Amino acid sequence: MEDRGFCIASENVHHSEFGDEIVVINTLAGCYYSLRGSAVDIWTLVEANASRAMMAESLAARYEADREAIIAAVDHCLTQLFGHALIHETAGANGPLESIPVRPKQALPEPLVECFDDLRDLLLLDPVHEVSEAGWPHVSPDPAD
Amino acid sequence: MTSTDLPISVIVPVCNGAGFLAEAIASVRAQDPPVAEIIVVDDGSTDGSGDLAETLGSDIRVIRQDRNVGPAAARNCGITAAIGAIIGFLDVDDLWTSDATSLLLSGMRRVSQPAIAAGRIKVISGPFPFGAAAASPIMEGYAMHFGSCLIRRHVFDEIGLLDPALRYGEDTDWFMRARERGVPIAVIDAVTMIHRRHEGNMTRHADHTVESSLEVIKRSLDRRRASGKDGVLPRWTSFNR
Repeated sequence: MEDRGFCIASENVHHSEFGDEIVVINTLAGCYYSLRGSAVDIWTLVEANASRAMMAESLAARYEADREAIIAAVDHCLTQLFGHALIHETAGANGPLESIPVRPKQALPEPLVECFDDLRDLLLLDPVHEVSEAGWPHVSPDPAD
Repeated sequence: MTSTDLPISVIVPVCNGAGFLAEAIASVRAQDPPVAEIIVVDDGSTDGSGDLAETLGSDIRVIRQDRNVGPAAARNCGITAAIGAIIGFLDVDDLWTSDATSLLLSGMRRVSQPAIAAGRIKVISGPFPFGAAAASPIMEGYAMHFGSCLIRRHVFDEIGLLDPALRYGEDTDWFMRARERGVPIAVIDAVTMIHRRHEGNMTRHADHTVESSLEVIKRSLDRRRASGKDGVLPRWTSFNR
């Protein structure tokens, strides 16, 4: 169990980091998500294919909290990400732990995962807007292009 | 001018879309009730789109922008120039259904006095140039897309124009701003716009579309939190009443 890693679920899940928040969209489910607090760290570690133990170790290096609290935060966040089908398990783990700075230590923030479905219709239908430097719409002279 | 008591100005922004322009204009002219004004905003085309628009009829007003400034700025130019109390848009590779204005205006007459009426979009594919009869439907649904809507002009005074800094997702950003402000919307249970998708535009810009969606969502979340109204907005289809 502990040597298993985690990764982003599929090509339908996209994300972008905006400082202290990561926004995730799932174009298959038609939902978007806000990750804040330690959920930002945990998502970054998921992206790096870290295991649960690696995540706990990485958070312990960054945040001032006892091990039980850190493991609870990791488990709570992973449960939510699983619940929204944003991540899945992998047979092995990588997890470059040095990607997260370790000083100065801060209090462990709550892993906040919020789900929104108010763009469902748009996310399920798009992309329908096309713009290119050649014009909008861009029309290929060769339909096979 | 039209006989309708709700004069509609339709803005058709174009940048190098000459091959689509005549069909798009024809779909606007086919409306009953008719529109009051058709404005083609040529956003620095190099394929003769602006010249072609000048030949399509005296009922078309052509505004030429010397350099390409993008869809948001082109739409803003059209909004500023329009005389109608109601504004419609049609991207040059899209088509209105023959009953688009009829359906959308009926939605605007609902007792809730909606400021925006929005129909569904049908996405079709086919070889270029298109023959609508030969095209295959891919999907159908609601989207925050200007081409499937009519919008009362005063909403732009309340919400502001489109953000010209956004080259992608500028319409989604505008509609999110409108929804956050509680602008009343009538969602029509019918297709009002046909989007023509083809090999040349189907996947090429998907990465940009995803990036812009993420950025627009972040902007909306920040605005909602700053206003103390964070949380989920009503879903688009919930306005279908």
